[in-house]
Amino acid sequence: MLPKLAVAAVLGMAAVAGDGRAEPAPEAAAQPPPPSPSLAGVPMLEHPEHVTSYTLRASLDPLKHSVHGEGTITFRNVSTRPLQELWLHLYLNAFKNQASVFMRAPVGGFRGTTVPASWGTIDVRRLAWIDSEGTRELWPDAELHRKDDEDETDARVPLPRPLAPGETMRLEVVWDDQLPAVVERTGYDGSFHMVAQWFPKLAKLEPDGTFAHFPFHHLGEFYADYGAYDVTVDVPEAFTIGATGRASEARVDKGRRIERHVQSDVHDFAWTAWDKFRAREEKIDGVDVRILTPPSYDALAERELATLRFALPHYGARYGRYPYDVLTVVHPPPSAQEAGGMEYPTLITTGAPVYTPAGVLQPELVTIHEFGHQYFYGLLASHETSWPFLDEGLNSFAEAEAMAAWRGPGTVVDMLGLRIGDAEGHAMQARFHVHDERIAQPAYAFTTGGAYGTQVYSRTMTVLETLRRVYGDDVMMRALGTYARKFRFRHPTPEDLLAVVTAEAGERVGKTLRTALFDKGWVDYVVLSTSSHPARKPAGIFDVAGKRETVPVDRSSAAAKYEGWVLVGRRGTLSLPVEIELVSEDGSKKRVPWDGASDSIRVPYAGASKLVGVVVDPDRKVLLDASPVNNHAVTGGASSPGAPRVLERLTYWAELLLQVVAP
Amino acid sequence: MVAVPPEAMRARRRPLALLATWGLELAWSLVVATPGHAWARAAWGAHPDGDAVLWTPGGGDLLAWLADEGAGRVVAVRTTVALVALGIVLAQAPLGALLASLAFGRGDAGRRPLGAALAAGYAMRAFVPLGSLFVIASVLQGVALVTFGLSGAALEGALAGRLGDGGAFTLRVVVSALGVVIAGAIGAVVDVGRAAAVQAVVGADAATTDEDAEVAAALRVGRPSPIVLGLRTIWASRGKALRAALFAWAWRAALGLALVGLGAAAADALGGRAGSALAALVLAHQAVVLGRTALRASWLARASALAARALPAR
Repeated sequence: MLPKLAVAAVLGMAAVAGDGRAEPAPEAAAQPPPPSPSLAGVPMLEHPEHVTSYTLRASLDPLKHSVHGEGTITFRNVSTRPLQELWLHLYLNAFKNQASVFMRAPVGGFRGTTVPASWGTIDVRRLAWIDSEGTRELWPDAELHRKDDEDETDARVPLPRPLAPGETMRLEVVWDDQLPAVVERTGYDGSFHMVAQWFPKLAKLEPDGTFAHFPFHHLGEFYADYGAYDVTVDVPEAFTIGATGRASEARVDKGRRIERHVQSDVHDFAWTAWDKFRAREEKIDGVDVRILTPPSYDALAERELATLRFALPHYGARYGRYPYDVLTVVHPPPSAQEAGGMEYPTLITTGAPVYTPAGVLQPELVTIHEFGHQYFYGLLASHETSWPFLDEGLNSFAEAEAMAAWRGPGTVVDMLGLRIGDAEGHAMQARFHVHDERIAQPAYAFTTGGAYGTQVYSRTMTVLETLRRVYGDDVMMRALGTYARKFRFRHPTPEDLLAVVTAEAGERVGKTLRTALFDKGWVDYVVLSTSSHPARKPAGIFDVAGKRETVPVDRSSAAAKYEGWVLVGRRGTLSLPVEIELVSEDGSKKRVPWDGASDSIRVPYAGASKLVGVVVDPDRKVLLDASPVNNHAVTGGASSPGAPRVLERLTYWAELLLQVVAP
Repeated sequence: MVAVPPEAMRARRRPLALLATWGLELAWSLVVATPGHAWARAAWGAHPDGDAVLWTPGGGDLLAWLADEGAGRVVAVRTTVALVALGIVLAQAPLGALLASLAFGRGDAGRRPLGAALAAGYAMRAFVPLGSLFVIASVLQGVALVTFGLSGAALEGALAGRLGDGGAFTLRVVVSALGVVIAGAIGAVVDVGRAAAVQAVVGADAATTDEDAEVAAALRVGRPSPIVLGLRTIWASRGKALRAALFAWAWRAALGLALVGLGAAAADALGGRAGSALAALVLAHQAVVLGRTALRASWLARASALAARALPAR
């Protein structure tokens, strides 16, 4: 899921002139990296353990915006204990009334409305356990909500007899959905229907026999067991269907379009239907990609395809091969843009206005972000509600890394000479709420949507990108590549990530990552003071060879050599190696590495000319730096370069503005 | 002091007035830019590369600066807005001086310029009428922009289904652009009124013969205010002459827009990070501003001529 990109402010600066720099063409850097040789031996599951599988039939009434569903659920107790109950997620009920957890959560500042234009519900009509002894109706005993809590998204279903470890049960289910007006991820807008979180879904069974069940929260919703989905969707003939998995059967019967979509090794299923979709298909890296857009979005469809032409092989090399043979990209109509920017197995929704200029890379960013979720959500399937950073944070890092590899430095805006990078944008966001909340905490624990967005998306990305820049691309990408492969289909936790990073990148990197994630780790490098003066013979009284000599103070201003020092401090709880660049009056520069372990360092200077300035971290590797504006200084006596370029631009813009608005 | 015959009103005959107008624009713009510059200088002035780092690809330092949550940004932005607003008010003065300089002079047929002191004096006397006309023009322009902007948005929403999102958005842009053109045209029409108002103010003092003096005296007693006179002049000059004048305004406006494009192209080509490139960019940008000022003065001369012909007595 992607928050709205705040590019308006950036676009406001788009009139900043370019600097005539020579950058490689985007295509020059667009080749996917070869997988690190060390990743070849990383074990990666071909298939997950199937726990819960669904065979469903769904019929859409586009006028009532309702879905009637029925089918069977096959569930195997893969835990070590007998099960006395089931937990069923009925997430459409999040939109039933303002008493739901979704509606009650006071988390403004993130995308999505909490008051849909029309309400949504899911009503289970029947839930029955079919076994050798007959049919047992389960729903009459179901507990739809807890005492003193009217949220109906997390239902408890007592079992008439325990389900033994290893035993498989077959459930028959019948239900009806009333879709809400589009709310962030699901619903309708006119005849457009995005149908997600739409069927009664078993909560994930943990190895200890408990269910990881939770109500649908505004900021978290995904965690489920893998299985096979066989879903037959039935819509009016004029509608085009997009759904998880490949359409194994498609026919038209009595004015209805009926498609059967089958997909194994996934943990969710979503679909869409609209009578105005335009479809475009292309095989990319062995995957049948299908783009569904509103009419007249051909240019955006091409941009989204171009993104996937890069992303599929790139992510494959970085995080392991995309294991499915199909991918559907849905571009919702603008009036239903809240359905855009979401992820489901083999189906993603993207979004951007039809007139998006080529230099504003919103379509590419949203598409690559949602595609990245095929890994950091789909294939890893962490507990997104408990540890949202494992999904959104790692995915934001992957997004920025991929976009930079593809398009160079201008991955948010690349127009009118202005190049704004995705990583730099996240770093800017990450400086907000630095000390407020931990990154590694459940979605529902964040105090505001803004804090969630900043910490989970931007700060996680900034932490990982900082480690990549400081310790090297090969080190961090090997670590994350190993993590993604080793834990494919395994529902990893933060400790799994930390263990892999520690093993692959070293103890210090692992410790830094833990502090940054769990302990609100932060860092701010600062130039504390500088000094530069001619090298002089020490003055004073000296005893030399039994004789006492007095050396006078040398007050000459000219000298053949100069010396001095800079004092650099490190504030915060993170320590990262940085370089300190000393700039001499003759233009020469010298870089001194500092491991950043101590609180400060005094760097001596000696040179043929005066030391005139110092810059800490001149390549801006430490994106986490809380305040980049204190990373530099000119030495006393040296003239300040000032800000003549800003003065020139602002004056010119003011002249133009006054010519327009003044008489 | 004598009135310049309408056919002889030309901006090129008043190069010093044009340069003075540009100089005042530059001076006030430097004032407007000062808070932002001070803010940038405080943040990046002590960097060995100065504010050149703000132009680094990726924009990390630029974003760090803009997103600074300190007081610097707030102070800079608010002060800049206040200075722009003040500049708009004060701009009536150089406009009045320029209009007076274009329409009046000394010597044979007013070939010699008025002189800075005299022009400034008339500008001050025309300040209130020009300010009033500015308010009237701004209201009308605002109404045009809002009306067409909202209409464009409404049409986009209503016709998206029929035209597609792309077509509907194009329609919205066209309608909104039409609003901008109409707002500009309103400004141009009001320029005729401005010219008339200044000529009314100056004309009352411009009598150089007994006959003129009698007319001037009569004007002082029974004439309407310069504001009303300006509005009446707009009405009196409607028709073919005004349409021709609007065409003259339109091509100058288009050329002025093209100059801005050239300025952007120059910035892209020159970059402006290093000393010589920055100096070249300063020259290129100021050439753009000077060119636009000349185009504006040229149009005001045309508007002054139109007003002179329409005025009952000068």
